[in-house]
Amino acid sequence: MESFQFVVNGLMLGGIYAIVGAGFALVYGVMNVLNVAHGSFIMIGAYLTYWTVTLLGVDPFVTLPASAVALFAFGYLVQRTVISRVLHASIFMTFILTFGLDMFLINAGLVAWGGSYRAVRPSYADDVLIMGGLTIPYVRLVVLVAVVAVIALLLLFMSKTRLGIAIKATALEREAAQLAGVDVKQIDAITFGLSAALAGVAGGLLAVVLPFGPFMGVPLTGKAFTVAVLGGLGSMTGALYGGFVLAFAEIGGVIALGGEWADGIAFIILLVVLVLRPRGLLGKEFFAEVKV
Amino acid sequence: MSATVAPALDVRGVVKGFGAVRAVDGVSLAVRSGEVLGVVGPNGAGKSTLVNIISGLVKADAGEIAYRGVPIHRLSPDEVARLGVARTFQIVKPLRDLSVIENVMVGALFGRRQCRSTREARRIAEEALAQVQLGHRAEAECRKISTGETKKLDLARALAMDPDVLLLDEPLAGVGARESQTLIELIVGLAKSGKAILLVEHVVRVVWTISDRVAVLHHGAKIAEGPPKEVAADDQVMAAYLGERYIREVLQRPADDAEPGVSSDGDGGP
Ligand SMILES: Nc1ncnc2c1ncn2[C@@H]1O[C@H](COP(=O)(O)OP(=O)(O)O)[C@@H](O)[C@H]1O
Ligand SMILES: [Mg+2]
Repeated sequence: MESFQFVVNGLMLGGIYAIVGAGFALVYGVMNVLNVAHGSFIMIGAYLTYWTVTLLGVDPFVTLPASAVALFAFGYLVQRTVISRVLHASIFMTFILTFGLDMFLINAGLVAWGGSYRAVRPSYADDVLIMGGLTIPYVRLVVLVAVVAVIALLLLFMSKTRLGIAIKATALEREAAQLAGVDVKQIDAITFGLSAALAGVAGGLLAVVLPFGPFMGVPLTGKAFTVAVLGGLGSMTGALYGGFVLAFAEIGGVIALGGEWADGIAFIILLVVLVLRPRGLLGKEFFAEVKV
Repeated sequence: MSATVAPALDVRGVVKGFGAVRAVDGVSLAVRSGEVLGVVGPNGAGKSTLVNIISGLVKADAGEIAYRGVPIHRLSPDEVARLGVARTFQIVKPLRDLSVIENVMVGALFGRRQCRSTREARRIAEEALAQVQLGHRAEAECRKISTGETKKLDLARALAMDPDVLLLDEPLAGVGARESQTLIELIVGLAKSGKAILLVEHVVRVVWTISDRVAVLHHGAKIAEGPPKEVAADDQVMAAYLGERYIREVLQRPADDAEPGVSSDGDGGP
């Protein structure tokens, strides 16, 4: 029973981390930007789901496509107006800029919604599914299904659509892609939008399972970075794996060491990976790519 | 002036300096549809820089470039590519994580052809790979193919874009003798089918046999241009600017002696 819970929770949290990390890795892969504000996009997604559910009374999972669209538009605009200006500057400039953006979004969240914790509770929040002696909270099961659907859609999009192929090509060899006719500046903005959309969906899913506030994104940015490094920074598929590795390590660590270790584990893993295996589990060595 | 009168590619007075080096020094060239213009010159003469400038990767300090009468020197590389100017690289940078055919599909999807579906792009990529005789490697991973095969891959990608103008930067460097022959026949065929081809090549003998006209660059400047026989007969030009040894050792060397992978000159910009 306990091991079953462990697996369900690991898969659910892993899927969310995978989505968060994939978006973070895409932006790094395409435009060499470590987006410190990634966690705050997740936070905005959580509030979007919260308010849509609260004001319209719809099911939280129904809000996900809408917040994906809204965050795509937001990410696209942020890239076009702000991020695009520092793409040729050093990586520290991109740090400073996205750090500033993060501060702005957190404070905007505080002003708009206050600092108190909120939670999204669908009508079936306390229902459980009983399967052959195993009980699973219904909500967690739906989150799991949503996570699988999002990852499948993302993989399909990246491998089968024109736009997905353009994003991959730009990430692999920007110049070669451009000379083959890919409008790489447009792809930058679309990738940033896609990354924000993924963050928004992850935020909506997290809002259903955990209480959240305007600061919820801060540890999540660190986790996105850990996941992306685990997968080999810049590799989207690597980040998808990395998400599950981190989630199982965290949940296992909490069981072994206690709840207060939950957020520390990500950083221990990050440290260990950077020292022992800087290429990540299957990706490339990231600091070779860092332009200072 | 109608588009049929203007040359497919018209380069006028292009200048590009890197610090104190004048990599390209007031070069003018025109390539017509159906014609191969050979561009030769020793290492560092400015050939790759010229190709970089035409393809939009490097911005010239001065000069103008027109494609079928339309100025393109202010456009970005992707805009130039979508109009119908495709290039290959002296040192190919394939999209390593993709298969050979996926690399070529990128050209079909985003070049002038702008294929709407990946299915159509795949069909066109298959045709292009067949043209360069690389069809049997379609599903191979890019990181696993030979240098010669990456050159063919690069050319197939350019062909899949459906260009009017092809800029080929040393397409035979690193390619074996038999494969070179295939590529040479292909280049001649492409010109016959109406494409304008600017062929930069170290294997001078090849340039001499397949070019309609030859331009000689030296220290960034064009020092001679004309039909191959005339330029070759211009002993004085050749000797003065390329050196007797260059003629003896390079010009008269058989084509299959191409220096595989040897290129002291960088390519593809910064
Ligand atoms: N990005 C660059 N920065 C500085 N110098 C360059 C750059 N690209 C080319 N050059 C210089 O310009 C000159 C012409 O180089 P290139 O066009 O590569 O010659 P070629 O292709 O004829 O061998 C050389 O002196 C080369 O060192
Ligand atoms: Mg060169």
